[in-house]
Amino acid sequence: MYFLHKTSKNNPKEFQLRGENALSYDEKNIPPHPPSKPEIPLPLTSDSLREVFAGSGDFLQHTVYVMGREDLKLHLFALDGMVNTANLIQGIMRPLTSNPVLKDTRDFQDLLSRVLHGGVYSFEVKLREKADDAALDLISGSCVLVFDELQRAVTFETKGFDFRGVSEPGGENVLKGSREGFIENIRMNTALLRRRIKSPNLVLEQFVVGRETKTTVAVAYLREFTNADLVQVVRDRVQSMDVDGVLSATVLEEALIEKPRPLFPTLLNTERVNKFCSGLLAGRVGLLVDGLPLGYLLPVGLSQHLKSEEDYGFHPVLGSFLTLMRYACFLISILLPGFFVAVVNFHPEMIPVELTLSLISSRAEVPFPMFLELLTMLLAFEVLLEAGVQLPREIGQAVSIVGGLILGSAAVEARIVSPIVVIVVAMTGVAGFVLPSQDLAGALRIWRLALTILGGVGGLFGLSIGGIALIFKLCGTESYGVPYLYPFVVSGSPKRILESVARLPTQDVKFRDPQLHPQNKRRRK
Amino acid sequence: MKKFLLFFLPCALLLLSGCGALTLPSSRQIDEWEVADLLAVDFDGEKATFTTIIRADKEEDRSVYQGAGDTFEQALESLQDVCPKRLLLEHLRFVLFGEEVEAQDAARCLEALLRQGDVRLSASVYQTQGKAAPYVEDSTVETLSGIMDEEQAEKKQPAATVVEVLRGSYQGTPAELNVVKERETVEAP
Repeated sequence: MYFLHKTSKNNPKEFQLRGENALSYDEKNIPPHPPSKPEIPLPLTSDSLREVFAGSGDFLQHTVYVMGREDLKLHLFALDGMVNTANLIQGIMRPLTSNPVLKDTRDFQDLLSRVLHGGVYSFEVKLREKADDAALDLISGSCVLVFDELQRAVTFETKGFDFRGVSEPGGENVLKGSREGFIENIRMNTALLRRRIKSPNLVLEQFVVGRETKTTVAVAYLREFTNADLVQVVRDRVQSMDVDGVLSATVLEEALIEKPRPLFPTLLNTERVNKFCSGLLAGRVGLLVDGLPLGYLLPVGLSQHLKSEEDYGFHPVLGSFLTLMRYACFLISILLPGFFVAVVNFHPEMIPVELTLSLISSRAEVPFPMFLELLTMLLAFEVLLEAGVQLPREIGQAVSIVGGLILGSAAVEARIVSPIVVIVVAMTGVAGFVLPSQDLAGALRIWRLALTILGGVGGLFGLSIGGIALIFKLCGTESYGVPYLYPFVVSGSPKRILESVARLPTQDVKFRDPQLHPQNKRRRK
Repeated sequence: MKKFLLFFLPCALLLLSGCGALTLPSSRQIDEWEVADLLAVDFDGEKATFTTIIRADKEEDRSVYQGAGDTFEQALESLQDVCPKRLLLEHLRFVLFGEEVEAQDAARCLEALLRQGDVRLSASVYQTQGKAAPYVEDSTVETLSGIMDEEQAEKKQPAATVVEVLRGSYQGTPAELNVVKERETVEAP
C-alpha cells in the first residue's frame, strides 16, 4: 500500500519525519535498554535544573533572598499543578523570608542545616545531592530549593494535585458490604488499607517501576502472617521489571505471571477494599499500583475467582447455595453451546421425544445448519457485549435495544435463527455474567467458542477431547506454586473442598489455607 | 503456526460452508430426521413387513410408511427407502409384533433394530391378535397406550420391554415371550 501514500516528492513542503530506515526496524541490531542512571549528568545547580526542564510550560521558578539578604540567594522550583501553591507560599516562602530561626545565618552551610531542621515549615524535608533525585522529587510534586554554592538542594513535600474521590466500585456491585473502592491515587489507597487493618503488621513496601513513568507500586502483606518466600518472589518480580512505562494493568500482570501466561487468570484483581483486605488476612500478598483503581491479590486459583465477598454477607446456607450456583453457571457457560450442538447434530436419540419434536418444528424454515447458526449467534453476542463496553453510557442503551430486538425477536421471526438457539446463547451468556471475575469470564468466552467448534465438528467425542484438554491445561497451571485447581486437586481433604464450594459458618473456618504456607496458621480461636 | 493455519483453515471452510454433512456423515441437522413412534412387525414365514408411524405435531400430519423384505434387515432398509427423510427409530415407544411372529424371531428382529441404532431398551413390546399393521395404521400413541394401560390394569402386570424380550432370547427360553404373548395380547379396536 506504500505506493498509495502521498510522498513528500509530490508535495515538497510537507513535513517529514527524519530518521534512517523509518519503515521497519532491524530488531537484532538495536542495542539493549541502556542502563538508566544517571539521567542528568550535571551538577545539582539551578542552571542544570533549568536546562532539564527548558521548554516545559508548567515549570515554576522563583529566586528567594533569605531574610531579605542579597548574599543568601536561593532558587525555588516547582511544577505548576503538582504542588499546592498556598502550601508553598505559607510553608516555604514565608518562613524563608521572615522566620526568626533563620536570623543571623552565617553562610550557606549554616543556612542549609537550619532549613533542614525546622527553619521551613514542611514535614517531609529531604536533602538531595544529585540532580537526578532532585528532578524526580520535583516531578513527584515536591518543590526544590537549590543551594547553588553547595551544589545541593532541599526538597519539600508540597503535593497538591486533584484526584477522584473514593467512590463505589464501578466494576463490582455491592449489596451488603463496604462500598469503598480503590481510586487512582496510591496514597489514598494505602490509607484505605490502613483504615481497615489497623495493625503494625501491615507492611506496604514501595517500589518505583517504569523508567519514564516512575510509577509507584506497593506490595502489601501482613508481616507475621504471610509466607516470607512468597513476599520475596513478588518483590523480585516487581523489581526486575524494566520497562518505559507502567500505565496499563497488563504490563504489571505480565511481569508477575509465569510465562507462558495462561488464559485463565492467576491474579485476582478487585476494586473493593474489603475484598483486598480479606485476601491479605487470608495470607495472600497484595499489590497496589499508582494510577490504577485496582488491587491485585496473589496467589489465587479457580476457587477464589468463583467466590464472591458478598457470600459472607448472607446466611451460610444462602451463601453456599450462591457459591454452588456459581460453579454450576461456570460449567453451563463453558459447556452448554458445545453440548447442545453435539447432542442435536450427532446424538438426537439422547433428547427426550417431546423436545426432539419441538426442536424439529422450531427449525422448520431455518436455512442454516444449526452449528453455523449457533456459532454466528455466539459471535453476535460477543460483538454486542463489546459494543456495550465501548459505547459511551449515553448511547449504550441503543445497543441493548438494537441487539435485543434484532438478534432476539426479529431474527427469530424472520426464520434466520431458531428460537432454541437464541435461548441457548442467552442462557450461556447470562450464566457467564454470574461470575464475579471479569478475567475468568473472558477466559470462558474463548474456551466456550473452542468447545462449541469441537462439539459441532466431533459431537460428544469432540467435546470430550476439548474437555480433557481444558482439564489438562488447568491442572498444569500454577499461581506462585499453588495449583490452579487447588483444592480439587492436591489437597486430598474434603474439608478444603467443602470450604471452596460452600460458604461455611465463619467459626468453622479456623485455619488459613495450608497451600499458602502462612506463618500464622490459625485465624480464629 | 503457519502449518496449523494451513491445516485448520481449509477444514473450517469446508465445515462452515455447510459441507459438514459431506465430510461428517454422522452429523445431520435435526430437522432432517423423521421421528418414528410406533413400529409394527409382521412375518408371514417368508417376508417380513415393517410398518411405522411418523410422529408429528398434528394428527393429520402423521404419516405411515411400510417396507417389506426377505429378512428383518432388508425390511428395515426398504422402510428407509420409502421414507423421504432419515428414520430416527431411537424414539420408538411401542413395538408391536403380529400373531405369527415367533419368540425367537421377535428377539432377532429387535436385535436387528438395535444394530442399526439405539432403540430404547425401555420401549414396550406387545404381540397383537392377527396382523400388527392395522393397529399401527389406525391408532396413535395415545390411543394405543390407552388400550394397553387398560389391558395391564386388568392383568396387574407391566408391559414387556425390549430388554426383557432380548434377555429371554439370550437365555434361550422361548417360554418367556410366550408369557408375553399371553399377557400382552390386545383386542382389535
